[in-house]
Amino acid sequence: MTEPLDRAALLRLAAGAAVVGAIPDGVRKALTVDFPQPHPKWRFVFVNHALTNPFFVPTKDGSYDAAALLGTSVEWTGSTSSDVGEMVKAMRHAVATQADGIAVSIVDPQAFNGPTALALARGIPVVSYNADGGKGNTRLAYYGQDNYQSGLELGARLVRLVDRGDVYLFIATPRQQNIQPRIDGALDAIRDSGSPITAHVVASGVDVGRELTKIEATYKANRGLRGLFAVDAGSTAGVAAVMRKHGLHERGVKAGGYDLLPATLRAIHDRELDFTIDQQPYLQGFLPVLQLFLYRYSTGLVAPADTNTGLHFVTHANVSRYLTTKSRFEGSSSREQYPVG
Amino acid sequence: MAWVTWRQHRSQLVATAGLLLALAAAAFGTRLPIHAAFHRDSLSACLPPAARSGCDIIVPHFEAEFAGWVTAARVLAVLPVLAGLFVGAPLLARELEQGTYRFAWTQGVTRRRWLLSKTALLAAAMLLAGAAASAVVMWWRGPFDTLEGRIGPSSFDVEGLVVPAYALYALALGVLAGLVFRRTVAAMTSTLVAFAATRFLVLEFVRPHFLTPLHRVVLATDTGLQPGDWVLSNTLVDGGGRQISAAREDLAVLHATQAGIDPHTYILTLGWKRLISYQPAGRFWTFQLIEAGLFVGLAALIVLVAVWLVRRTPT
Repeated sequence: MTEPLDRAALLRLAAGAAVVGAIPDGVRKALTVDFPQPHPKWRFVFVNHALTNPFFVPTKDGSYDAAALLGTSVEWTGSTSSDVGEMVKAMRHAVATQADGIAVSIVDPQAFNGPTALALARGIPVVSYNADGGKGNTRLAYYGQDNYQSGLELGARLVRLVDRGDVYLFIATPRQQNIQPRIDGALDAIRDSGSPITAHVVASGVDVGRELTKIEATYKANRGLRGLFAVDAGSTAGVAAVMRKHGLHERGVKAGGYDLLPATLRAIHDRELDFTIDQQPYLQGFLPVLQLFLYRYSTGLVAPADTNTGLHFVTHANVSRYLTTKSRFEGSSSREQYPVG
Repeated sequence: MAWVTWRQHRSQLVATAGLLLALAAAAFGTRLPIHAAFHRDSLSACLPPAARSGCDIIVPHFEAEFAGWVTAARVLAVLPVLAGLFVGAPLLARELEQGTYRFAWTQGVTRRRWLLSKTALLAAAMLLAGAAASAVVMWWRGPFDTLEGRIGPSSFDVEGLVVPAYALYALALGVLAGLVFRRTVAAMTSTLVAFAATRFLVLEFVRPHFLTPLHRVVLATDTGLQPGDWVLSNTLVDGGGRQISAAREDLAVLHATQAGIDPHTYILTLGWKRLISYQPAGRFWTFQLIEAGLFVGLAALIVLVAVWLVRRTPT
């Protein structure tokens, strides 16, 4: 991990640059604004529902990069299997150990309300990232995709791809607040379209191997289906694998899903999948650290603000940039590198 | 017969002439500012296909500026029925009501010739008056017709060949009603009802099908309206071609709003389309000929029935 540049380091860099007659603009600006001033090395804790899920690799990288830039530290904790109990326990531990800020993926409508209120009462800022399903949760801000919106857009695209027939929508963990709204949105869009499409929702589970088995079993039991779609990274990779294994794209079956796992991107390149949705996982890690830092640095005057990290459809037309670029931004490389490539 | 007809109906004919003069004077007085505004704003440059920029503001502003006058001009659609109420209905009803028909029908002229001659002379006068009124309205509405076309009901009904044809039909209706009801007021009332009913039925159910309507499929968010065309239906349909109800549209807009998406964009992505049935502006004169022919034919038929009935009316 790269250490943050302190003022002395910047001066050394400037002095070196002066020898060769060029002071980079960024360095010149840094020398004049004196930011940040010396501050405590705040500890920010990320509470996550799928710690080993490859989706969160760039999110973690984003958080580490922001921490390095700002001179803070980041810890990741939570669950590997969307176990809300584990997550709540991890969050309460962060509060008990006086973390300086907490970012939590709120995947349950109620369970995080208590720990959030407790943390705020103790002066610990809490923000949510990736999932924001708390009903009445008092977190300060959310960083991530609008999941209902993305589901609605997925449904609208599905309708354009599949004009009629049965389609299957796979969701790892139904009712989980980061992915259930996507299913809800997709179903609303299918109904709104009026197309003669029958959508079936299938719970695929959190285990990647079981997801694949479930998706394949669904296909074998319904060989006349017209589409396979998923609303989480693991299920999308599973859909891609089944599409490839059975040559379904050649048979006119349409498919799509979420996130940028390497298998998903390769399947799009090979036209096994029609699309995937990029929700900027790097920003979901970078921005919470940045804003928690600003909150602390300004003693609460700069309040965290919601950020929609967006919705970008990756298709065969634009996937090559993802495949040819190895970077921390999409989780394809752990190397710090500029320019990326 | 011409002299008798003039003597008996001179007041109506003079009133008709007076009405026409008043109409012409009003048209002349009000057209000047309309014409000036049309040229001041160079509205002719807003005509498709080479509409200049800003027309989406200029044209509605022009239309709004004179909307009151245009609305008032629509009232002229009632002018033809006056021929039936004040000329046709009393023609026989007054003779029968006052008993003077016994004198009239026992002269050297047969009833048939008496009726046909009077009706024909009055019909000629009403045709002339209708044509003159139509010409005045067409001249007055010129700028609006240039922008909006004239096949839509608001202009079609007060312009062209149909105005004298309506007058002829109203006159015939009045004559027959007078013969049937034998009372002037009853004849006038029934003439008004029958005329309005016929016009309504033709407008709603017959005119749209004079020629097979054309269809156009446009994007759901496109209004689909082209200046000059008469839009018969403008329906939102889904990808399967099924009509989308207002409730369904509202629900989709609600979903888009909840998701923070522009509803127009969302509807486009769903593949919704707008299906438009219309009669093109270029069919105006064809439709005028057809509808005028229809009303003239109806008038002729009614007069024939009246002649047949009058011969059987006891003296």
